[in-house]
Amino acid sequence: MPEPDAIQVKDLYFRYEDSDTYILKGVSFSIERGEKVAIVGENGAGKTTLIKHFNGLLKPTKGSVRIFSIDTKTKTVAELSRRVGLVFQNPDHQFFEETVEKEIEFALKNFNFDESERKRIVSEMLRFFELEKYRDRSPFLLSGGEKKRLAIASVLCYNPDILVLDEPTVGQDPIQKEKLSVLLDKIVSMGKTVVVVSHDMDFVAENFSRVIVLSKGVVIADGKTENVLTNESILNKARLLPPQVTLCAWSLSNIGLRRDIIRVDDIVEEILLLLQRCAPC
Amino acid sequence: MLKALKSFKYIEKSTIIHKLDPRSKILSTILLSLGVLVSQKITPLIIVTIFCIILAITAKSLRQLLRVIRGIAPWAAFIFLLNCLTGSDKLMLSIAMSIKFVSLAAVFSLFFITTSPEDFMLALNNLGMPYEYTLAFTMAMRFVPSLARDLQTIIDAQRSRGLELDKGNFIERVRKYIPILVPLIVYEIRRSFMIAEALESRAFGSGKRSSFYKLKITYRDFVFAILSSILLAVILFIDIALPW
Ligand SMILES: Nc1ncnc2c1ncn2[C@@H]1O[C@H](COP(=O)(O)OP(=O)(O)O)[C@@H](O)[C@H]1O
Ligand SMILES: [Mg+2]
Repeated sequence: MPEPDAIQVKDLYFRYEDSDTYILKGVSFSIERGEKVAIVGENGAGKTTLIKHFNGLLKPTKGSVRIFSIDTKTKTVAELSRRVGLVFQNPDHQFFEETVEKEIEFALKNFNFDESERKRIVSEMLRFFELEKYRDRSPFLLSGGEKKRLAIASVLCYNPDILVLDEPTVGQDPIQKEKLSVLLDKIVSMGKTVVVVSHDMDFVAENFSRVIVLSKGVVIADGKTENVLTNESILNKARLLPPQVTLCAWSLSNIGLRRDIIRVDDIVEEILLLLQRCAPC
Repeated sequence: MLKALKSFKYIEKSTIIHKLDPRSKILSTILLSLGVLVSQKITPLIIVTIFCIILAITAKSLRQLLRVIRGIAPWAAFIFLLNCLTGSDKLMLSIAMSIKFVSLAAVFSLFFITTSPEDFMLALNNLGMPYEYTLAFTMAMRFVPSLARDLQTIIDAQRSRGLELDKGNFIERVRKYIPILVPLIVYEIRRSFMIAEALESRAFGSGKRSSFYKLKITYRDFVFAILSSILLAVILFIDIALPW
């Protein structure tokens, strides 16, 4: 028997109770266990609305969402959250404890971890997210990058199988973004499924091999990042711009650069190759 | 309750009611609510409610008004029960009391549904209220919907970390509001500081202001004001003349 998909969305339609327009209109895709996938789309495309379905905060108006083949309609948010960790965009929407340590402990208490285990996990998380020296500090006094890491720690701590992050790079400086991508890789190597919502094309290009494009509540592309993010008609339709590296490659295509380059390393390699070929002349 | 709050939000529409001068709407709101407050009988109160519904239809905002009424229906029922329990032979009065509550809510919400906060502010300024006060008021009005949305996001974020609001005994449940209220208060206080900075950097409070929009009274406003006055007279007359 094949292993069930981590997330399976089938013909999902959704509208908020107080409005008559559908925000999601027939969204379908599935994500396997251990995958790392980016969901991109312009503001208001419905990305946040979509991921709130993964832990049952929202239930489909029509269609279905299954987590490891369990229909989200049959479970409570708490039951689903135990397997699907959702990290919201703005950390300020969730911090309330006096110390960083307690903030991480919050979810562990909710999920009934016993005291000794809580202590062990908190220490592990503080180390993993480089927050040890802030253990007793107020979460409100952290910097933007530290807050973001704490927000992820406060969800990853209870060891969900799937981690979903909403726009994690917004408001983060380049160094923090770099840290974030290292962290995401580590989390994937722990065997977790990672889904990231973002409209930071450079971040997506460098860090994801698969991307799903959402536009006005419809999936208009789902595939290899280098194909999707270099496809002008998809980008136009979704009102997105290609990664900087791709723009560079396009500008240099008249001297022989491929048009489907999305990563810095690749464009460097390509240019070096071109230079080598030209070296004799 | 959250929903009733949300439906107070002003939605721009181009109807006769929306275009009326806010001052004439304020006048008629005051007249009608006076009528409602004074009246003890069912008939005039129902007339006011129907009048509001007709106005809401004219303003293409019936759904919003009905949503407000639905939101407060439980309170109206509560008022009815309370009145019934305290005085046994006053069934009619109890009914009148709860309709009174509904019609008062209808009168006020109709005003806010059809008047933009900016118009309302201008009208208050014109009627002599200092700009600082009216600004505070309109900002409060404007931030009700975004407050509601922040609250929803915070609840969602904490539920995602395993918080179960509807579990446990009474004291446990009350304690569960701490993770929701703390971020909400901190967040809104921060936002208020940011707004204050933004206002000051645009020279708020530097002296006398001019205004881009000017209010203008037209014959429609006279008609509306006269109509409201007549209605008030009718209400008062019925209230005295009829048994219920
Ligand atoms: N709680 C809500 N009630 C009603 N409409 C909402 C709510 N939340 C979001 N929307 C609407 O749904 C649409 C999609 O929003 P969202 O999922 O947040 O998009 P994204 O995350 O892609 O920017 C927007 O038009 C937004 O106004
Ligand atoms: Mg979003």
